[in-house]
Formats: sequence, structure tokens, C-alpha cells
Amino acid sequence: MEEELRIFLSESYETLNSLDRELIQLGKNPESEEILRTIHANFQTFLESSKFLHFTKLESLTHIGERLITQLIQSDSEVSGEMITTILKLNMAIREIIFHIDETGKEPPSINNSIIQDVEEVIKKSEAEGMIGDINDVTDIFMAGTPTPGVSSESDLTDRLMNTVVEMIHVREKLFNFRPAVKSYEYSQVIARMSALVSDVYTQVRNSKTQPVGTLVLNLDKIIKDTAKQLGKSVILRIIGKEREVDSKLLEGLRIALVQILHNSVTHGIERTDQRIAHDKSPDGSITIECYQSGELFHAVVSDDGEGLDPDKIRKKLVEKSVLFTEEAAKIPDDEVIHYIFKDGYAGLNDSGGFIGGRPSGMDIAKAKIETMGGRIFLKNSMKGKGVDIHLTLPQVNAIVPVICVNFGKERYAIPKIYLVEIVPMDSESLIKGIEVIQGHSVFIRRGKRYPLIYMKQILRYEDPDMKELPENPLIHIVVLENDGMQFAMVADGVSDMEEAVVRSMSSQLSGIFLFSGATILSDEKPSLILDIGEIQRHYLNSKLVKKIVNFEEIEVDVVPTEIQNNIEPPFLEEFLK
Amino acid sequence: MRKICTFMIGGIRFGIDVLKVMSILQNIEIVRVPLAGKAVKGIVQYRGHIITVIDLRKKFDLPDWEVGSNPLHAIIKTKKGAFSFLVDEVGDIQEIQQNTKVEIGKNVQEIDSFYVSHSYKLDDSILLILDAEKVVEVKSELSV
Repeated sequence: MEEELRIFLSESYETLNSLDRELIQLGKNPESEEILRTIHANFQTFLESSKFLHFTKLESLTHIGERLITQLIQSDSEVSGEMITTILKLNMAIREIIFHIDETGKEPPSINNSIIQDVEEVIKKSEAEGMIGDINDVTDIFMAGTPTPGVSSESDLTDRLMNTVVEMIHVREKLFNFRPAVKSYEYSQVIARMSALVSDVYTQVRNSKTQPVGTLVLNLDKIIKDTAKQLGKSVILRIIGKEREVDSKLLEGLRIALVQILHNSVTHGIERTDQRIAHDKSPDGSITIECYQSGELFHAVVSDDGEGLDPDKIRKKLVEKSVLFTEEAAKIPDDEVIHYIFKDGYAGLNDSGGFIGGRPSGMDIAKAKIETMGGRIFLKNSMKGKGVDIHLTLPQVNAIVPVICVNFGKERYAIPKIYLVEIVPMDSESLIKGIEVIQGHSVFIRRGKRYPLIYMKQILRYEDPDMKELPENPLIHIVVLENDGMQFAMVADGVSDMEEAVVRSMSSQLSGIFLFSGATILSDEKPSLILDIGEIQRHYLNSKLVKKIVNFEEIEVDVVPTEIQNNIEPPFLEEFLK
Repeated sequence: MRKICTFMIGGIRFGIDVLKVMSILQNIEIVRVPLAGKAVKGIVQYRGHIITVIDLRKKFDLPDWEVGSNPLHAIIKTKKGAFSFLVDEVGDIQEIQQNTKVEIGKNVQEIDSFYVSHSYKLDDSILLILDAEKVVEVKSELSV
């Protein structure tokens, strides 16, 4: 308890300071939903830990704070000065309780309930009128306000700095491609030095915006231990790659998603200690989070050694939730039905009714959170009796990634170099000779190996504006890519040189499109979408059938067409060559 | 008194608070985004940022652009970041008195009242103020 309390206190002071900073920011940008969300997350952190440590008074204060912020986010209008004053007061009250706990180890015997009433009133008012705030009020508070100036604009400043550095990197890329009439040693020296300086500034700014994944550990560990204890289980959490640096904003989203996944794992995956012993497993369950970076993405793989997913249970739930009919569910093979845990409408129906922090637990929260940040979540593996692996990917915003650009018709897309195996230029006649269609799947055959083909023009719904100009037998490029151990190919009309690209985020309208992991600005200053190669491979080529084809395995004729295969439209050679 | 930047789109005049208009651009290359909602024209680069382009004609179910027309990008600041709204023309900056605010029935408005925050009476016409936040709201627009 001592140790937990100590961690709690040090975290609490940190959260309180962060709350202060965010409130100052809010005073300056009363419309910012982003700031509200950060404040919301702060209150949630408090709520979770105060519940955990049974600080009921603190819990009631933070709970009402969370409700207020939720209302503010939903009301979608500017936050008035009055509201900020109320939140500041609430913050003060929380701080007092924390001080008291720090000194005595206990909560104060009584707290001033008027603050709770104040907040209740504000919530009611906000609900009633939909809130129209007066910006002037807000600025007044902070003109006279106590908070230290300077700190407040810190995150703004690094954001602006980051954007400037990204522009500098674009200019640098241009400079590299620039060929002066007279080449001089001195000139190239200056360029090289300038370039190094830009890299230096970039690294420093980026470091100030990132945090190591390890900062999540304490928080997650607490949640796991608590949930496990309640259920008579014992779980050990390990994190591999703690030192990996992630953008602070992404880290917060990652935390929210991981809380849900871990909670799910402990409640449903890991067996009770007695069950584990009966099954000849080590009495302590283990959950591992492995973090690593590759190309434009940050990966986190959560693995547990629990009982794994039960396909029949999933079918039952799918039918119960009217996602599928009984006959439909029965037709889907075991190894595919398990992927339905991430289907819309499936989540949120846990039979043991697990709740955490007063919110319903569920994969849908994790999924929604990850997808709004442009990330993806999927089931990597599930072995009965052995456990489940869940894979998360998030785009590394502002990271510099080497990419190649491929053309499909007149459009251009960026592919991170890390996926690239080779590029084979050939004329389209020899391509047609090298293609074989097996069970509706096209494969490209080269040196005795089969590469499943992906028709990007179809997938991208590309319509050529002027097809008449096409030369006969045009030169094309087979782009061979690799993800997760599978090599496959795309047919491109052109491929450009490699360049260094900065990964940029996209608006929420676009971040949910599975084909793209982000966007970038290339050295010609034009934007380009980054193809999410991993997701494309999983979406189109992850069926057993494709794997069998690649491995030259025998294929039974009556393979049930499954959803994944149905996604591939019938390949028409003539069409994609157009 | 508020200052409103006015725009023309498919014969309709509407306004946006001048403080929300970051820039007006033309002739910048739009990159199509496959599988995006119908009102998303694509993305553009604006000072190192990737900006989503919203086709207001599509959004408001107005007749499509004529071939060869060269719409303007109004770069608008919203809570969700900057967006480009495609418009036909940029008009004057109007100064609006609060007391000219009018309630108008749904039948008078050429565009869905969902996207209009309020309206003002001018000398000879009515100016609809566009609710930029509503325009960029995501309403399951993905057509996957």
C-alpha cells in the first residue's frame, strides 16, 4: 500500500500540474476540443486511481469533473470564463485533498460540498442552453490570473516549431535535387552542413514532443493488478520496448486503447489461478506488450497466455447481437470467425459485465480511439488454450520515413521503403504471360515463385480520364512488397526515386480509410497518400486460400467463399492494363 | 458588430466569420482520396499541412461544377483543424449588426438548415451564416 500510495501521489501532482497547464490553454483557446479532451483524460486518470485506492471523496470530485468536461465536449461551443473558474476551483479542491493524503495518508474527514453543487449547476446550465460563451471573460481571468506565463504556450510553440522544421525539411529535399550549373566543393559543403543543422533541429523538436512508452507502465500495471485481484486471478505484465519514443498525443490514445484491451484480457483471457494449475499452466497469467517501430508505423502487440478465443462463443454472440444469422455464422470457419471480435456491433457485450472506471469495457472503445488517430487494430493470432495476440498500429506523425512513389495511372502514392522487396520493370505483354489465375486469384510467377497480385487501380477505384493516349504494349513495373512474411505484388505504371518524407496526419474524415496510414508532402511540394501496405495485405490476401496458393498446396475445390475473399473483385486483366 | 466574409456557391450567397477565414487560394493541386465521402474532393498542401478539401456543392446537394470551372479554396479554421471549402467566388466583407438577425423558415433556405448557424437581413437580401463545424462533422461518410 505504501508503495502504491507513493506512486499515486507523485502521479497526482503531475496530473494536477498538467490540468493547470491545460486550463490556461483553454482560457486562450476556449473552442479547442483537443484541450478539453486532454483535461478529460486527466480527470479519468484521477477517477481510475481514486477508485482503485478507495478515496471516495476524491472520486466524487473527479467524477463530477469528468461529467462536466464530457458535457462541454458534447455541447460543442466555446467554454465561458465562468466555467473555467469553476474547473479551477474544482482543481483547487482536488489539490487540497491530495495534500491531505500526502500528509496523513488519509482523505480529509469532510470536504466542502459547495464546489460539487457549483459544478452541478454549471452542467445543468450548459445542458439547458447549449452554452454561448463570452471570450472576454476568459481572457480577463488569465490577464489577472495566478498561473505562470510562458509555460502555457509551450505545446503551441513546439507545434509551430515542428511545422516550421517540416517545411525546412521540404526545402532541404528540394535543395538536394537542385543541380547548380557550376558544381563546387564549397557549395556542397555548405549544403551538407545546412542539412545536418536542419536534422539537428528536427531531432530536438521531435524529442520534446515524444515520450517513452515506459511512462505507461505504472498506470497499466495498477489497472491489471486491480482487475485481476477482484476476479481471483494473478497476472504479470511485461512491456518490451519501453524506451520507444511516441508522440505524446498518440501515447494518450494508446493508453486508453491499451486499458480496454488489457482489461478484456484479464477478464476473459486469463484463467483463474486454480484453472491454470488444473491445465498445467504456470499459476500466474502473463500479458506482454511488445512495442516497436517500422516504417511509418508504431506497433504494439498485446499477447496473453490465457485460454484463447472460443469460436463458438463468438458465433453465439454474433447471432445474439443480430450481426449475423445462425446459418451465416455457422458457415464461417473457426480461424476466420475470431476476427469478428473487431466487427462493428460485436463489442460491448461482455458476459461478466466487466466495468472499469464506470464505463462499459469493450474493444469498440479501443477500436474507435485507435482509428480516430489514423491507426488500426486487429487480431493477429489466437490459439485455443494458449492465448491471444492483438496488434495495434499507429502512424508516427512527424516521423521522417524513406518512401518510394508509385504511379497508378495518373495518380501517385507513397509506399514506405521498408515494405519494398524489388521492382521489376517489364512490358505488359510479358506480364500477361507471367500471370496465372488460380481459384479466382491472380498470381504473378517469377523464378518459380508465386506472388499474389493486387489490382490497385480497382481497389483505388481509379478511372482514367483519357485512355486513348496509351501506347501499345506499355512498360510497367511489378512492385514486389513484403508484409508479415508474405511477398506479393502490385502492378504500377511508374516508380520514382526514393525520398525522405515526413508523415503528416489527416483529418478525421479520412483517418478511418483503411487503405492509407497517413499522408505526406513530397519534394515537389505536392501531397501524397501513404499506402498502408500491412492493412492492404491483411484485407485482401490474408485468407487461407491465398496462403495455400503461394505455398503450392493442394486446394479443395469446394472452398467456401468467405468475406475476405469476396472483397477481391474479379480480376480482369484487360481492365487493369488500361 | 461582426465582420463576415461572403462567398458565392451555386448562386447562393453565404458568409463565414472573417476571423475563421485563414486564406483564399486558387490553382493548387488537389489529390483525390479514394473511398472518401462524396463531399471530400481530396487533399491539398497548405504551408506544410495536409488539408482536406470539402466540395460545398456536393455537401449541399447543389448542381455539380461546370467543366473547366476553377473554384477557389477558402481555407477555414475549425475546431478539427483547417479545411478547404470549395467556393465559386469570394465577395465583399460585410459588417453585420446583431439586430439584423432574422429567423427564417426552412422553406426559404436553399441549403440544408443543418449547416446554417443563423441568418442576417441585409439591405436587399438575406445572408446565411455557415456553421463551419457542422460542415466538417463526420457523419459516417465513408463509402467503403
